[in-house]
Amino acid sequence: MKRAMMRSLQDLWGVFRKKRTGIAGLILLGLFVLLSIAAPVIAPHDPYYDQNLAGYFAQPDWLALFGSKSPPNLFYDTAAVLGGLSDAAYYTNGSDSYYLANPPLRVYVPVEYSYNPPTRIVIRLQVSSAEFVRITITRPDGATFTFIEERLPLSQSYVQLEADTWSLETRQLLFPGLTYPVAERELFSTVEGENEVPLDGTYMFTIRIDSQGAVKIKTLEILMYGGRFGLLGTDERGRDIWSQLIKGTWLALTIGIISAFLGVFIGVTYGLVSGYLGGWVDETMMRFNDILLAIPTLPLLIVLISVLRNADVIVISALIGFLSWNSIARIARSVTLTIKQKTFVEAARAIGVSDTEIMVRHILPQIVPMAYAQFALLIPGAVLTEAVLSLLALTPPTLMTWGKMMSNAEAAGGTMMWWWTLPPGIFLTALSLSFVFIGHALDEILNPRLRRRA
Amino acid sequence: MFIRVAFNRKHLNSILLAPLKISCLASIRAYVVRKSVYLLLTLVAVATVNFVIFIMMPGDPIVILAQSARLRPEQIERLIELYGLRKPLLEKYVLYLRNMLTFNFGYSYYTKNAVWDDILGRLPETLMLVGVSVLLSIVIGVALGVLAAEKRGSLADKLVLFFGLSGYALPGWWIGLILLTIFGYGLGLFPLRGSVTIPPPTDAIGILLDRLWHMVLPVTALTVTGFGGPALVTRNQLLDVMTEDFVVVLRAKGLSQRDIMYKHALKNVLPPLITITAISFAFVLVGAMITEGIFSWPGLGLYIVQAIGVNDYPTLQGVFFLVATLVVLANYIADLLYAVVDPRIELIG
Repeated sequence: MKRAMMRSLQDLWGVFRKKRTGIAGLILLGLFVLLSIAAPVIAPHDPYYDQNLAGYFAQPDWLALFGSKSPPNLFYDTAAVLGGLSDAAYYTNGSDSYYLANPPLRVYVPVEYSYNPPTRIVIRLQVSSAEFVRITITRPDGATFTFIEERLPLSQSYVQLEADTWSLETRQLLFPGLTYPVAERELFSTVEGENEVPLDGTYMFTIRIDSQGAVKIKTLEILMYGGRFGLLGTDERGRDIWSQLIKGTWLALTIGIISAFLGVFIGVTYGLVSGYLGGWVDETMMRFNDILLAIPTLPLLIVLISVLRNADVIVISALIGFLSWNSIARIARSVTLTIKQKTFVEAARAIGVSDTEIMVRHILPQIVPMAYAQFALLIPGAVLTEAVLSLLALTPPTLMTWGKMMSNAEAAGGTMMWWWTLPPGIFLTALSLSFVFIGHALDEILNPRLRRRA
Repeated sequence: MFIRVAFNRKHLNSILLAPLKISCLASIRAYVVRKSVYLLLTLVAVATVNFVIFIMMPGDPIVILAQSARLRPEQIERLIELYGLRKPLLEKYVLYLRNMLTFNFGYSYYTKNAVWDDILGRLPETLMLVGVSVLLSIVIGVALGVLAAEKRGSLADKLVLFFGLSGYALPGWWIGLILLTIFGYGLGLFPLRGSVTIPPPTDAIGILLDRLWHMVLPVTALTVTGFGGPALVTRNQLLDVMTEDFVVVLRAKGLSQRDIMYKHALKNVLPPLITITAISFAFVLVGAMITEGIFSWPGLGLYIVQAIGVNDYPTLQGVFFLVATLVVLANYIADLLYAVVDPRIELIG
């Protein structure tokens, strides 16, 4: 069986490589396979869990080359802020690591800024033994705003302070009296007449900590979330779209291959048995098949999956596979009918080979080439079907397929962000096209009706 | 989306030839009766599938109804009675079959109306979209198919083949999304949502123009992915016919290639064209359901999208049954028409 499959594959390859569409499809598919193999290296972020990598709805990084003034991420972690400080010493004590510094402590973080306002600013401070903390920002025009101002009870344990321009508390502290301030815009631009003009220059973050004795600082981060990130920007939760796209390749291939394999397996078995047994069994099985064939698959799938709820990738692929074998059963049956007539089958039966053995050893290998073509032709349908299910929000949110990306883009109102909506569609089409081309080429080779004309 | 892939040529041929084989066995009347029996059997099968899904639903339906539905108590009681939820399985099944076959789908959890009334209100919108798209797909597809067959091997032929094949791989709703982004949001040439302007124009011509204006983008999206099937079938069928003996005879008589193609060969495309129209209808209908969601077109598709969001099972099942019925009916009508246009069937009958 295995040898027969190998041999038919080799024969097929001999003819196949002369088909230009088939080879084009194969090359395209090869690219996708390469992409999904290289995914861990070229797409390091988790498509679902790595959120807040930059601001929400960030543009692609390279748009800066075309004059986009969207800011990049400007992240200053604890080491960047405190590491250069001469009178702060770094200590590690078991799981606890901190900077020890003598008050009064003044830390200045200058930021050269010449972009549009950032999308979000978060400042985190974890400190112990401090009595007074104030974090301010001084603009190039000299105006100063306060992020954090706290008087603390003297305590040996860490106190966590956080300023976030997305929290009402921080905004009210920054702009007392202003009713609905958009903090980032108010901070990083000035109003000139009618227009808001970004204010370029050096912004100075000043951190002031006062206390009686030495102060332990565990974290002091200044995170200015930007408006551009990576190759394709970020989605509505600040996730890396490029990573989603590349890792989606693997998902699409998985779904396509599992469901196509199931479809071909069931279809070939059904058609083989039906065609070989013949008579009323054949009649009944084929009528049943006709009836199933008439039922539209997609609406049925929609109902099934919305009833099942939270089906994972295997269940979804299996369902698609279970609903796609009917046309293959027909083809497998017709091939079986012709082979059944051949003398070698007659001979096998005459020397007492069992029906099962004839089916598996003698007829099945002849169906296998046809199965390759059907396998390739089933995959795009399965991938597209899954995309539709994702688009309708029927698949779990963690299953970040290309369809899910487009569904997210649509739901979050990101339709105008072409770097978000276009790539998954192009990948979807290209992957489907590669299989359609391969399947079409195989079909042309194996289908006698088409071969005669070729 | 799915039907499209099922329709590679080999499969298509087997569909095309099936009625022919049957017609050899029996007269037209027997053929019609037989097709009608299959129609009924298929509908029962669809209803049975629906029933199995209903049984499979996790949890006790009565409890779910009582908890999650936003229905009035008397409506819930009515549903329990309608589905025979307190009765044994077999009785439940019979009740269910009867309900489905009489289009008695119960109440929508979401709109609280009878599902059938909701469907009736939305079906014309969907059928309008589908009707125009199918018509355009067929006209454009056949024209391109004839062109490709006539100039076999030329650049035009190759382009038709390429775009026809691409049609198998292109999701129509994605085309819709892009069209909407470019021509709707970007250029502002076409409306972003819905099938009429609110408030609608009052004069007849205004209404018609307004409708057409709203239809341009969704119909284009559906047609771009819909013409490939008819184009490929026409091309292949024509090329197939051109190798037959009668064509050799005609050529021997001195007829030009053009005359043979248009006066004699083209007729033979009609029977498969009927089948492909039925398949197109099914495929565009399903495709339209997704595309409607993108364009907020107030038809069955949008209805089903909303139903999914709120776990509205009666609606989902009702729409599924209706769509399946329409698809099966389209195939049934195609089978009957087939018998009318193919003279060979009458000869034998």
